[in-house]
Amino acid sequence: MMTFIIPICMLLGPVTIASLLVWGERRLLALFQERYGPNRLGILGIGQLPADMLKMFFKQDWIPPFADKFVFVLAPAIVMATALFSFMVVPIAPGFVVWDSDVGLLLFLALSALGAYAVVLAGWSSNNKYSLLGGLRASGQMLAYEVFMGLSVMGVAARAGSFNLTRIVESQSSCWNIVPQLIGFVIFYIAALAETHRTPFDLAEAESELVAGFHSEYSGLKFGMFFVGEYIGVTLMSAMMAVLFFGGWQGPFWSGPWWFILKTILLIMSFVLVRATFPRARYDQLILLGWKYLFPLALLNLLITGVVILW
Amino acid sequence: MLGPSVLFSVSATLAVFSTLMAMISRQAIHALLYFILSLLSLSLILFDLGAHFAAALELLIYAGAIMVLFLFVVMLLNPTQELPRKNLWLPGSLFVAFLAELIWLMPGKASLDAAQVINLSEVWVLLFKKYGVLVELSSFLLLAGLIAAYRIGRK
Repeated sequence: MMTFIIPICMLLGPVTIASLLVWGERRLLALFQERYGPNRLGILGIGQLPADMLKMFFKQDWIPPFADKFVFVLAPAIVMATALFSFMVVPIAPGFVVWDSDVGLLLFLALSALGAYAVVLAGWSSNNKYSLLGGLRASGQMLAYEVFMGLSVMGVAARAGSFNLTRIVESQSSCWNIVPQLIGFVIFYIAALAETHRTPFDLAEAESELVAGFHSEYSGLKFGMFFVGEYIGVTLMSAMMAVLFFGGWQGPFWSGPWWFILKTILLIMSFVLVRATFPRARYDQLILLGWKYLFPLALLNLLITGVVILW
Repeated sequence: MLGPSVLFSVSATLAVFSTLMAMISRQAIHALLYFILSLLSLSLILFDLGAHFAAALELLIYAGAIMVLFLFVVMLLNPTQELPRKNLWLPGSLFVAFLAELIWLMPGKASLDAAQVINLSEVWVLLFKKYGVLVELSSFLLLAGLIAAYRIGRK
């Protein structure tokens, strides 16, 4: 019975949270900027969500005649598929995980790397120069930030002695990884922002220079998939940070999945806060920051962690 | 003797098909996409054989990193016109010959059902104890490539 319940929870949970974020992010952004945001429809304006969804369903789902049709349709599916697949290895509570894999962490990194294809292919298949520029930017950015996203969590894996995410959570029973792996966390956080292309690093869809970047030509439900896919990515990154650095389901008292959910939601809110706070970086600054500062820092962090473990 | 599993059969067929399509596709990006599909199905085969670590690395490094770089370069050059239809007689006949050989060899080597999951620490011990020198030497080779790329980039 549980073999069916767990996968269904892991599929529906992230999608629900992500679609609530469509409304939640606008409300939170408004809060941070001393505005109201969408507050008219229903309690606290939550009716905005079904209204937006209905609008998106009824819009014309247009495929440009000059686009590469197959790849154009494939790209939004990749966003959703890779992000939702990654939830397979996220442990919510002891035993409450779809696949308690020994390569869980690697699988997460691999799937987030595959997520880069969605943006790149969307940019290419639209056959539009703004989309292509967006796709190019996205591929350069994700390739760079993937590298030390992987390196930054290797310290965590070394401390736990395993890539198994359940074991990683259990290894944090005395002290959360955020304390000994603070540098790793900061690097992972920045890489997560770049990987989900959120605002300081949303060069792939910078509307002030590239119309809407890689999804300029998308409309209707396909655009909706990119839109919700981004929020699923944010949810995934927050869940992974809760697992890797904040002790997963473990809390100071009454350890259980509610701690995990609370940590995930707080981390998602921090993503929104970052978006509300920082202006967009320039592309060369982004790549420079990645290769010249964060990459050596991640290597150094790994080296020091190794020395401390073997001391 | 158990036959190969369903997952293996499906992914192996997919691997052969997508590799073939990668060779005969007339558009560069489509060929690359087929190649990525073939890497994904290879990773599935490794997974089915119990080599989870190798499967994850195949996904992470080949499909996730190297092919994105390939795609990046192809997009940067953006070849708009399709490649001319190639003469497929020689590669085609070679392909058929290899496929026939594989099918002919298959019934003899039926050790595919031994899908026990390989422990990660075994892999590490092998890599850094038994084949340690080899791993270090290959990393030197990569370093040479890195320095060469740096030299070319400086010009």
